[in-house]
This record gives sequence, C-alpha cells and structure tokens, in this order.
Amino acid sequence: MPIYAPTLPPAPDLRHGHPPALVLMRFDLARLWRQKIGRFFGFAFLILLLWKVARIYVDHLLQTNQTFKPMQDFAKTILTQGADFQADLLNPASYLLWFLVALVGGGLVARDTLYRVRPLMYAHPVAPRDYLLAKLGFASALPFAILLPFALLPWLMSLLLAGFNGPVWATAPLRLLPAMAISSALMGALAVGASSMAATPRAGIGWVLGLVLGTAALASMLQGLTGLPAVQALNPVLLAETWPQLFVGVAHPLMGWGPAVLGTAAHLALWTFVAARRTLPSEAVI
Amino acid sequence: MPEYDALIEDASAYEQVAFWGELSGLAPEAARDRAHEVLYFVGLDEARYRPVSGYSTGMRQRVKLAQALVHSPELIFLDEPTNGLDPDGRRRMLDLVLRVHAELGTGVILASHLLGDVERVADQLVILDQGQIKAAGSMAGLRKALARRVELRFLDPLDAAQEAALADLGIVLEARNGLYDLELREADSAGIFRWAESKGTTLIQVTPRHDRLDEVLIRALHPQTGA
Repeated sequence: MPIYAPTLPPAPDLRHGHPPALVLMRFDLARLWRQKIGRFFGFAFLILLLWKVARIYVDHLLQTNQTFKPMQDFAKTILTQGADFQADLLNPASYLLWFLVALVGGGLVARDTLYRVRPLMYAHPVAPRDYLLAKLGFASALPFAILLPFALLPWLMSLLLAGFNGPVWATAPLRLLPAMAISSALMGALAVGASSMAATPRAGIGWVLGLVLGTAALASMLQGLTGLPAVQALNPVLLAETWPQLFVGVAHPLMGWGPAVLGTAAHLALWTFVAARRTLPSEAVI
Repeated sequence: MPEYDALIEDASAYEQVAFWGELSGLAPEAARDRAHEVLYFVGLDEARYRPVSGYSTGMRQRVKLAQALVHSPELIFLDEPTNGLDPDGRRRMLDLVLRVHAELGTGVILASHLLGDVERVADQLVILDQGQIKAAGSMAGLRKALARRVELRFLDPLDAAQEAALADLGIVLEARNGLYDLELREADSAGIFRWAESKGTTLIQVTPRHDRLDEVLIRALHPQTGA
C-alpha cells in the first residue's frame, strides 16, 4: 500500500535551470556511467597511453645515457621520429576508438527512440536544435576527452625530461588539439546520424559500425577501380587519422588537404542533416 | 502524461523525474529536491531509487504522473491514466487525479475510454469522434440535453394497436403492468402528450430515466440510432 504525502508544495522558480542541451548531455554522461562499459576501454586506453609515455622516457634514456649510445641509431630506424612521431601520438588504436564511439554513440538517439521520450522532451522547453546539439556535443566530446591525455601527457613528460629539445615538440598541442577537434566532430556526427536511423541501441551500434566499415570498403573499391587515391576521403577512419598528420606536417600524409577538407565536410554535413531530419518532432515516435 | 510508457527504462524514477524537472527549468539541486517531493506525493517511496524497468504498471503510471507534475503546471493532460490497472489501482490513481485538482489547483484534462473513470472525476465532458467535437458541456447538462429514456404511465391499459403505435415515439425497451420504458427518437417531451391525445389515451405520468454515461456517449456519436 503506497504512502502518499499530505500535499505537494509549489515548484521552485523555473528560471534558474541550466540550458536544455547541457542538461541532456549531463544525463547522457550519467547514463554512460551506469552502463559500465568503461572498464575494458579504460584498461585498453591506459595501456596504450602508458606505452606512449614510456616511449618518451626510453627516448630520453637513449639520448642521455652513454650505456645506451650504441642502440641510438638502431632505435631511430625502428621508431617513428619527428613529425610522424607527433602525429602518431593521436593514433591510440584507431579502430578501438571507433568501436567505443559506435558502442556509446550508437545508442545516444536510438535509446530515446526506443523509450519514446523525445516527444516528451519537445513538450518541455527543449527545441529539436537543443536536442541535436546535445547529442552531437556528447558524441564528439567523448573521443576528444579520450584523445586529450594522449596529446598532453607525452608532451608534458617530454617537457619535464628534456625541455624544448624533447621528442615531442613544444608546440605540438597547438597542432594536435585542432586535429583532435575535427576528428572528434567527424566521429560524433557519424555516430549520431547512424543512431538516429536506428530504433534500438543495438541497431544503432550496428549502423555506426556498418557505416564506418562500409564506407571504408567502398572507398577501397572505388580507389581500385579509378586509381584515384583521393577517393579515400570517403573513408572516415582514414580521415580521422589524416588530420593529425596534416596539422603536424608529415612528409607523406594519407591524403592531401583538399580531399581531407572535402571528405570531412561532406561527412559532417550529411550525418548532421540525417540526424536533424530524424529527430524532428514529426519523427519523434516510430 | 502520455498513454504509452514514455519512461527511461535504465534510470530510476528519482533520476528521471529530476531530469524532467531540470529540463523544465529547475536548478539541479532544486530539481533533485522536487523529485523527492513529487514522488512522495504520488506514493512512490523507497522504490524511487530502483530502475523503472522493474516497476509494476501502477508504479509506472505514478512515475508518469510525477513527471507531469514536477514543474507545477497550471494544466496537465492525462491520456488514459488508468490503463492496465486493476480496480484497486484505478481507484488510487483516480484519487490522485482528484487530489491534483483539489489540492494543487491544477486543471486536469483527462482522456479516457473508461466511462466509469470519467464519471468519477470529470465535471465537464467533451465527446470527440475522429477529431470532431460531438458534444460538450457539464456532465449534468449533457445528460439532460441527451436524455431520451422515459417511463410512461397511462390511465387505462393500452390496447394492441396503441401499443404498436408506441413505435412512433421511439423504441420500447420494456413494458410491464401498464408501464412503458421508452427510448425516445427525439428529446421532445411535449411530443409524447401530442401522441397520447392523437391516439385517444390519457397519459398520467412521464418519468425521465437516469441515463448511463455510455448511453449519453452513444447518443452523442450516433444521434439517429438508439442506445
């Protein structure tokens, strides 16, 4: 037998809340926390991060300790150096990051579709624009937050050990952070677009993985048929890997500025458009 | 409050009511306090911390009502709030609806196919059919306007021809000991007297019968047919 309160006091002032997009993003973060999928990915990314940081220390030892002097030349031949090394900092197992984005991003919109809560959100002061902004923001902030320690920790370690002469350039974050932002936005837009086409979170994961692998396969086939390397700009995985290379200026990037800009812009526009269409109030209930 | 289960299944009642409060413009801390108050008001105590996926139908309906009340609206729409509830659960939910109106001063628009529920809580009625308003007004007013059931008593027993002629007035539902229970074709009591005069009989009593709400509804939807 339920126990009812004697009465209900009036609600407090409704003008002190946070913007709806921020509230939605916080709720998605709490939801992600509950899903407990971070243990595997946390462990995997931690190992990769330790490896990157350890390499800085090993490099420092090779440079400063006379005992390791004979190994220096050998190390230079097997380990990436210079601009390639800077770009490689942001490559923490690219497919692992895409898989995490699919696992989390695939359910972002699809879960709301499954639970049919989007019409209720629109009945509250949440505009479709707020909803889209929150989902894109969250899906993009996640890979950005994961990549952030990969850009900053090795840089900090290098500065502490060797100052401006370390293996990581002193200006590296200025080049890596914009590249991370673009790659993360690409991942987020694709994940939200795919999720908006799905009716369940599992289907959303399938859509993200299908689109990522499907466009990669399509790009490879088209390149084989046409012989044009620029068509690889269709491949979102390659695009995400290309941006750090372009910003740090490696000698032979996966693709040039032109195809990278066009490919990224096309993906961003297409998937944002799909997500916007699929989250209109008229599409809110299946 | 929608008819279907618009609940975030992987969140607790407390989390989602606070979430809806925040979306309505409450500050985070105020939304959390408010979620406790509203859930206590609708009768969800310790269960509020459990994920909604494990709730019974009655609890789910109460969470939906709490979601609707979290920001103290002036008007709430309740779509089939007693769907899937047992008689006891229905009674409790309707008690809550009455409390919402009486104690909080919130206007309630309740959509329901269960006329017993409507009869219990509503004071104004709108009958809709395919988006068109078929009848609207107070419960008593509608009953009066659409009342067609009458009981007729004549001074002398009617002969067979007069009994057969009763069909001119409407449908004879029951005839016993000189009393005739009729559903009139038109809500025109003067016409009964004219009919009696034309048939050479004396009408001594016309008693309007209490129409059930379903009879009122059917008459509003199908004015030409009987209940």
